[in-house]
Amino acid sequence: MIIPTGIPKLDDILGGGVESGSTVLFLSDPGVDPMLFLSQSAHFNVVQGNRCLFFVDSLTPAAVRKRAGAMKLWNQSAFDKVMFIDNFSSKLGQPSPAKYVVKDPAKPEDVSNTVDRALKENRGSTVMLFSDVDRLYFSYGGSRSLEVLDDAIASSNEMRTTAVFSLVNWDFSDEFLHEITKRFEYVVRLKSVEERSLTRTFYLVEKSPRKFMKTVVPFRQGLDGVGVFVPKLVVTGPFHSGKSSFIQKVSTRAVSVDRLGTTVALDHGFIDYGGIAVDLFGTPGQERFEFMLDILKKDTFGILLLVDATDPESFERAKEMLSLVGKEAIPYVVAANKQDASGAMRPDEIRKAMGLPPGVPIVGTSAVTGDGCVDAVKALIDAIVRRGQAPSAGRNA
Amino acid sequence: MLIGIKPIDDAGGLPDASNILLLLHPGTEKAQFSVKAIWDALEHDRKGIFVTTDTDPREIERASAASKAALARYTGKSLWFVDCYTWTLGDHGQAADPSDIVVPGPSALNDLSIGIAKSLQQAGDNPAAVFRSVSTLLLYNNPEVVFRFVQITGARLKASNATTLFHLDAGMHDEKTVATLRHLTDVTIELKSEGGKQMLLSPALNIASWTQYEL
Repeated sequence: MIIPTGIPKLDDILGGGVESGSTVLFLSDPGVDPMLFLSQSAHFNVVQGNRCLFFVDSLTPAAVRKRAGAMKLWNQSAFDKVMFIDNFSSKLGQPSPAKYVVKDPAKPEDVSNTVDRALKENRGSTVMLFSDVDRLYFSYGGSRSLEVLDDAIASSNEMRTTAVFSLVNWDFSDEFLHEITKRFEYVVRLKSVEERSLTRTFYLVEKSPRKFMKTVVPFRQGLDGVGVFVPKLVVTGPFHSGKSSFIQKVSTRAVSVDRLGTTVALDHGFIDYGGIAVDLFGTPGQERFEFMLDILKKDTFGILLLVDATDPESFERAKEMLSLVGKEAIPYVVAANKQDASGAMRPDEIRKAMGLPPGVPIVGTSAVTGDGCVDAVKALIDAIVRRGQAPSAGRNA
Repeated sequence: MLIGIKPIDDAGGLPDASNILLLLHPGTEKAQFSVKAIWDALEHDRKGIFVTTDTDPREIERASAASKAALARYTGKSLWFVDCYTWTLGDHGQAADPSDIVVPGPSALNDLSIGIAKSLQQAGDNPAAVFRSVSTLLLYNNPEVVFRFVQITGARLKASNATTLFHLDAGMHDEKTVATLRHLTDVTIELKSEGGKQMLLSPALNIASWTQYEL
């Protein structure tokens, strides 16, 4: 049986989710919020009607609930059904509303016993979320923390409960990290890359007992929870192929820098739906503004090439623009636009006319009616995830 | 970075893109030095980040208004508070100013790290920053994780060319803790009060003997 994680794209990568009764580790860089991944998974499972246990060691259960309540798309009352194992309130000397409270957090055996009791009294629980493994290390030292971890894994295995752990890597030694990761069937790395004052986050599956997609998924963490976030997609194509209309149609909000109805600098749009957020940057189509392509192509994750399906003579220019933004290095999708117009060529005809390789997706679109526009963006995001490379700082196409 | 405090500015100011340990001896007025420093930076069109673990941001604004260094007019425009305090009072993150970045308590170090990253996104390159106080983190966390936090967060702040003052109350911690934090930062400035006078010492800034300062 497969248990979905509720994390966008991760379940696709893992072939639907993780195996029931397995052990999963979210191993994160500082600055990435693994608690949000666990909370999203808890929310997803509870909403699905699954029973869920949640071990906390750096936040009180009330704080976890409060954070969940701030999430725009989450149902806060769902967290009333989560059963917390509280290893934090006692450290603060505060009373805890949780049913399972570690009374003496100084004693690692008290942690193991409380987790074991919670699992046994809730036989049939689908998932146990276990946050803050790093705090076990700082509380009990390396070898004792591994014993507590082993106890928790053994208890969850005995109860056949899927156990999802999180650990923030506060610059631990490679040996310790190896000792940790070898205990898990699934390991998902949550990475953070600093680029001056900007932080980019992405995740990748490092280990799975089953076949999985080796890829890198950019994400953002915010009030929508964890969502796929593509910070830059370039929409390009010849003059009059419908780029501005496309961006306006597909975006939650958009703005164009134009003169007399034609784009002279760029279009910008932002898409935010279905757990996916994308910043779109549209290039001008005229040759005299070609210098803008050099600026806009920098650090892009993918290219959406719009072609006017009613104007085969513009296809050569489309191919030329694709070369200018660097098709070899970056995933791209072709949108065969103006499908609503009479005489429009079908996508398969355009593929043949342009000599596009079979692996390049081509999607029929109409920026007037909106038909196919979202599908084209989704096809590009799929292509990016399949390619699985986050652009490094300053990489040009 | 000039901060409007004479002995420091006479020594050339605080080094840009550096982490500075502000070691506060018992009896020292805790807030005014760093408030004055960040206010001066704001006055000179720099952006500011104020991480607070021991005082409500509004209280910091009120106290600053009593001096010449009123911060409130910059809040949300060029100054961002990372509030690690009000949650511990039971307010649970009900920020009085919408620009405040609220962190659920001083034990949530990773959330604090994320909060500082968010503030850096707001402030951009080359901000002035105050972290008040590392002592609170040491009350709630194992020293080893605090050291790693300071090391990693300090590196991130420096990567954004931030000049950051990390407060530490000297009388609260053992020598090893203080020595480690000195090692993890670039410069130490010690502050003490003596006979009603405010004194500072910083051999790294060529202030090799206790020197009186005024705010």
